[in-house]
Amino acid sequence: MVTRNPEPLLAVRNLSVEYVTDRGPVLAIDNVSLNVMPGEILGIAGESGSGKTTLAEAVLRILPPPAVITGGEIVLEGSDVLAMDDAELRELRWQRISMVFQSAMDALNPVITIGEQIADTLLAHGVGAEDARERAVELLEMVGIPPSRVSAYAHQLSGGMRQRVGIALALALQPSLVILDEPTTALDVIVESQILSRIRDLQRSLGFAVILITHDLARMLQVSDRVAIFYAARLAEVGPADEIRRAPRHPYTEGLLNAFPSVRPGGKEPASIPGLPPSLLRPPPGCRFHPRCPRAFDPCSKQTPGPTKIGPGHVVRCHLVG
Amino acid sequence: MSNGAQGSTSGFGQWVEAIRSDRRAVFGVGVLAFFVLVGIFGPLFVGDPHELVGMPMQPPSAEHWLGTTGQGEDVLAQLVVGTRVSLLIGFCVGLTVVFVGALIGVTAGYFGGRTDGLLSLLFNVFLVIPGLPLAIVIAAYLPSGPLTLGFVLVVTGWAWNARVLRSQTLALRNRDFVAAAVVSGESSLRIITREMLPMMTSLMVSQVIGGTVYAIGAQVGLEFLGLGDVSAVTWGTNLYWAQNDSALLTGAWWTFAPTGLSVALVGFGLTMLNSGFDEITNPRLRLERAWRSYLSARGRTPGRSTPVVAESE
Repeated sequence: MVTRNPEPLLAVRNLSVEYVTDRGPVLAIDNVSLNVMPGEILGIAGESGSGKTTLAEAVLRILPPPAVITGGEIVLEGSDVLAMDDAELRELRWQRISMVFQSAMDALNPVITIGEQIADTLLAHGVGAEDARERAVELLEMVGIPPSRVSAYAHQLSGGMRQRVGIALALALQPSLVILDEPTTALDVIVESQILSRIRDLQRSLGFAVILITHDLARMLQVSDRVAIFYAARLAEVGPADEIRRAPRHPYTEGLLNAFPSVRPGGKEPASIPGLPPSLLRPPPGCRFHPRCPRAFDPCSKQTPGPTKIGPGHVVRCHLVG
Repeated sequence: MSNGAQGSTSGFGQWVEAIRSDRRAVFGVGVLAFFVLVGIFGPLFVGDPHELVGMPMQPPSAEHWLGTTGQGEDVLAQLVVGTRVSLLIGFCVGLTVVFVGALIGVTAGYFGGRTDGLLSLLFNVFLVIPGLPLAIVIAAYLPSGPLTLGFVLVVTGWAWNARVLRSQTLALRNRDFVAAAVVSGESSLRIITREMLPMMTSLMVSQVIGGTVYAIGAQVGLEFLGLGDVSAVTWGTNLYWAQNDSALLTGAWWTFAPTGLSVALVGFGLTMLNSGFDEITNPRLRLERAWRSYLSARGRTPGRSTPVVAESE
């Protein structure tokens, strides 16, 4: 989906996040800039610990201690998230940005029915009791849970249904941005694909933007409009999903794509990326991927590659490019 | 899987390092070390605490640093000799209380069923009985002396530890690594001692410290009431005799203040050590403290939202 509106919904500029530890600060997000356009699905991929979730939680300012945002800007629809006080942030959370957490299916209260739980969220944000109940039914229907299940408890639902309740909760206040943090990790492939297509449909009809975090790159490329690849707290590559699928420019992106098996007979064998992700306490100098990069050359270990624009909305940080 | 959840601080050097990095723990260790040294070596330097060294009720002077008691004994000598007995009883009771509690609580939690029912009934009964009155009754009937006192304190003090450790055992019992140990054919004794007890170390350390505070306080209290051996010299009997000699009426503060302060200081030191240990064995608390001091160094107070500290500040 090409956006006609050039004004980004969410602009993250030069954001840095540190975790304060007794062995020194760990840079969990290192100078990351990223835009989310209104009504688009932005996929964020990367290995565990590369900063995907940290970025999402920084946008909502809900990073637990010992995290500190040490620089940069986060601007949502013209308002500066980093300058907000607790009251403003409370309004920002859920009304303007909502999030489906990694274990959203375990986030439901076991002693309250799912309908009440959604109504509670609405009540807390000033919706009347009568309207809240109606809207709860509506929301559950939207994610494909029939009205007959409104008075069910979480334990009476399957994992996939609970996850969909989590999504319904996230949509309750019609936010302009929904962050989905690995919404399908604990689910099987069929349920996963149902949920993702449900999200896609809802996003098309309601027009909110989505940040989709996952390490299932293949699935993400299918669903997303644009994709951002994280490596060791930095962005490796950002670009339109189909472009990245067809012609990845960063060797790391390429490695991720090669790690998927082909479903067709006679397809290429999956190849893994050698080595392990680096420690963020002492990250390698230069390009952080160079110790594992099959095509590393001289400058890679010395200079940090700057962002190179190689097409509309396609930015790569690699010495091989530009 | 030896002490996973409690942090992997192992080795003596790391412990020393961890204690040194925590002001409360340093204070606690310091106070405790001082009194332990006084208890061990002090009696070598003071005379017989029962010797009548001068006029009764003399205020502190160059000759008798802490004055004399109503009988004309040296207060300093009594304080120092009393330290040895009181601390010894305190630590022994603290350890025994946790040992008995662990034995019964872990057995109940691990084996469950009828064993659990019986043992739970036992320690619930002991929990319901008010401790200090029972201690008074037992102490009044048994021949008085430090051993009796220790016994009384263990009898009235073990049940709470048993209950806490039983709950902890129940929680651990359902963890996957215990199930794995059962499936791989480890004996119950080995599962309890090698797989489960290490997970409870920090809890038990804090119970020992808490038990010691309880033992010292209760022992001083019982002896103050005259339920100990009043001819022995301990912190409790010091206070008993001070009261007996109407120290409060005559304003002879030097006969009770030093002992009272010692009790308070040891209790305070142990409590500080306890809260220090809590942080040492819990990496998350430690990180949060690093985070707080990072923020306060930059003039920020930790709030409910992720703090923003611009690099230029």
